[in-house]
Amino acid sequence: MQRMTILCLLVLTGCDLIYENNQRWLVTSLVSDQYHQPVANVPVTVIAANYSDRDIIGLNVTETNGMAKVRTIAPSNASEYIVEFNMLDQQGQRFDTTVSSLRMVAPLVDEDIGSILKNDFILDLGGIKVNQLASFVFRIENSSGRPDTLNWEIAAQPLHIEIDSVDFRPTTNVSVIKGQFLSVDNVQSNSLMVVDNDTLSIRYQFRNGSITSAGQQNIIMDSEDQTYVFQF
Amino acid sequence: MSFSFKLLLMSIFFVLLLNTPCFSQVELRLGTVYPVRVGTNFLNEGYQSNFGASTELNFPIYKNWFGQIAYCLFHARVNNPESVGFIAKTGVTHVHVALGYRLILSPRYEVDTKLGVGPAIYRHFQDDDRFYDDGTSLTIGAGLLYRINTDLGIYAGLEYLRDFLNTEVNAQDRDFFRHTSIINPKLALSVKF
Repeated sequence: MQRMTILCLLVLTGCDLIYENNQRWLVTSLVSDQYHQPVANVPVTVIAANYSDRDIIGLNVTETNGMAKVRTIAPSNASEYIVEFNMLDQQGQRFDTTVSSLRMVAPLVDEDIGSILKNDFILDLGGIKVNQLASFVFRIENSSGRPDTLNWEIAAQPLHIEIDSVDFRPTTNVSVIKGQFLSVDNVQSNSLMVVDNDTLSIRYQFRNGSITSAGQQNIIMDSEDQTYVFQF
Repeated sequence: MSFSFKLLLMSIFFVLLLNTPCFSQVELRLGTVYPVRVGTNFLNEGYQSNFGASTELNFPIYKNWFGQIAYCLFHARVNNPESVGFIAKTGVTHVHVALGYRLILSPRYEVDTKLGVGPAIYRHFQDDDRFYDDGTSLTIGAGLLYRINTDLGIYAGLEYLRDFLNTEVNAQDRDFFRHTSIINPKLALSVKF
């Protein structure tokens, strides 16, 4: 009976997260990209949870030197702690188009929480690596002639971007030209023949480490010389 | 010493006070404050404050000297959770016991100054969850009273509060979380019993 009472009390009192009075924690980390460069403005969120409750307990963005310092309140009955490094701000908008690591989760364990209390209320997660998608320019030039030629090039900075595929799909031309390119230097270029006023569908997928960026662009090829530039 | 225990001591003191002869000259001030947060601390950098309420009970001690029990409460909404942790809003309560000196300029005008000490409690709300930071508060203030008649008056004052909280926090944030400063402009209705 006594055991049952204790169990009932645990169920009743253990639902919501409870916070320590007069206590704050500091969660720190150094965020760098795949090139070991510090990454600024990466949102960092610290979450505490138990089996029925889940609260954000602190958030911040990384400083220019990549340091993340998150001041948090101090839960006393959480069973799980999650630190998220992500590219979305609180409104769900893309925070920084150059930062593309999606929800990298660094779970904390009980030993970490013990170390927070022992170590001056600081938990240092150490280095966290996020993958950063390089910005790049996709340029297409239509040169009218006999036959028309479409020249295209991709210029990326830094140089390590990889291209999974770029598909050109002219509607009047049954052939599908697909490029498969890897380990591009700073410029990748090629040419193909197109028909005037044809609608060209370009499907692309670029990859940078584990991060991919894919999409589709449709352009109508003019009879005049024309340059199309897409900035990603 | 917990906030509840401090409040109990204050209540006992107040009950004893009611039994003294000087209670017949007690002055009650009911008013509003607009806390101006100052300094580099979590209260100033993380919150947007609002109007608050103030209650003061003054009782004469000796000649122009008077004692005061003051209660002040205001709520502040967190607008910068990066500074304070993820808290929705905080209710800040101060209870002070003060010693003051009153200078009677004319039958209608008085100025007074005071120095006080007492408990401070910051009650934090995060969804349905509540927790608090508490500590000790010092106050120093001055004001001007205009007497409409012998029983009623209007009081305008300014007080500075310095709170010393018991928050356990890392060394680099210690001063940021443990010390807050508030300047309270105050406007009150004064009633003499």
